[in-house]
Amino acid sequence: MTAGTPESLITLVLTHGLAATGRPAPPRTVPSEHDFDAVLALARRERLTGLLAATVAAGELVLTDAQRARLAEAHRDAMLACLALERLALVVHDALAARGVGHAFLKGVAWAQVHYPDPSWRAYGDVDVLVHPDGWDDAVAWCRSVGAVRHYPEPRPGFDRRFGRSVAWTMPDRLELDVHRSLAPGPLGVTVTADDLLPAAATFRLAGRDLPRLEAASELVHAALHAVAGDRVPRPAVLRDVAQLATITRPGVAEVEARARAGRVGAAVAHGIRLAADRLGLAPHPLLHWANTYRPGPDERRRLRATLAADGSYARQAWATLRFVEGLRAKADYLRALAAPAAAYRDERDGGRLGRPRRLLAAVTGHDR
Amino acid sequence: MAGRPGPARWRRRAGVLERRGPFGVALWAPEHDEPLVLAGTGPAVWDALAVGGSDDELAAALAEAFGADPRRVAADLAATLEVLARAGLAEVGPGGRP
Repeated sequence: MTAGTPESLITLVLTHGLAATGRPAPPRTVPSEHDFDAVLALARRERLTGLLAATVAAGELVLTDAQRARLAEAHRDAMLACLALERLALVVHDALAARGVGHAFLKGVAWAQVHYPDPSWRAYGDVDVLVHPDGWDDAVAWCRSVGAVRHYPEPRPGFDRRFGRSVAWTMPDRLELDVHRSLAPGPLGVTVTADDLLPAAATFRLAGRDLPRLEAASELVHAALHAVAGDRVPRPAVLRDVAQLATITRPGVAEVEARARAGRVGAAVAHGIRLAADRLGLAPHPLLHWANTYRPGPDERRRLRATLAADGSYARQAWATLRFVEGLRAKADYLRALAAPAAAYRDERDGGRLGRPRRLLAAVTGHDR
Repeated sequence: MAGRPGPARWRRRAGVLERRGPFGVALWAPEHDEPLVLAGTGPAVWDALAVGGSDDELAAALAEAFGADPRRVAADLAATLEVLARAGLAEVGPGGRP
């Protein structure tokens, strides 16, 4: 990797504060305007302005005054968005607690406060909260009562509470709230669900109050699953989360393995940790050793293979999940929702009556690639 | 015989959400609708409020930190404290007893 190119600068930023043997050398000159434009655009898009600002503040990247001013503006915008989302998290927590709904905050809103040296290093664009199935309907009712709009209708009544990973809501002030039933989509999400993970075993401080979150081992499992099953190519910030949790927070190897095995996702968690280690050039550490030497059982390997084969496609992932849904009745219900969803869902998501069967057929035959 | 109470003391309000960066300090009192971004000497005022103090104490501390005229600092400080109070970020607590 040539020093000073946008690619090496992003890797430098992504690995700031980590022990990475493959870390690019800090450039000796200020980046060109063309290169800085590319880096700043990516930092904005991928919510890396905090890490970029920290890299500059540490003297590892020298910018012109004009470049510093542009970065300051971009980072300010990202941080104001985070403060708005923290306000939302407080409101959500109070509402769910008042209704006796078991919950735990996931990802950015919690991890920024707990796992990063400064919360400004970890920007985020929504609030993620895991909700116990017993309180799912109450949580949904609350969202509707405050005027939140869900991004997509439910395929069939009860589908989200039984089979979904999460439901995305847009609040009246346009902030995003993701209400999770599970930590991962598709085959990996079938067995890492809220009823196994709650009640929350840990907390984080926000505005002088303690809000619930999962314990670090579960959070690393979540981060690794996100790297594997999220986007087709893992996003930089997702890989950084895996690295931050694995090498800085360092939950115990035994605890991580126990949580991963309990969710039958050990193969996927190991794969996610290896992805982060390879991309970021991480130095050896106990959890990387575990990821490199972990021997999964056949069920875990099947779940990982099915997830990777889906290659980020919602339709393929949905079809692959059927195999892992437990119980004949549940499989039948899942399949019915998949193949013949309610009209509102079909019209909005599939563009009409024939859209869904066409997409499923393409997913099954592989003609959607 | 009890002494008279000292001057009122400024302090941060509890529960303020905060982020720092090259832009200064972004603050948001959860019950308020708008955030506030402090730049220039504003972050130093916010830092001083973590300890708190009377108007004179804060002005003296900031004047020393910046090597500035305390009277000039006091005037600027008063305006900043008013802005912070309106945004729900700072408050005046009761004075201490000597």
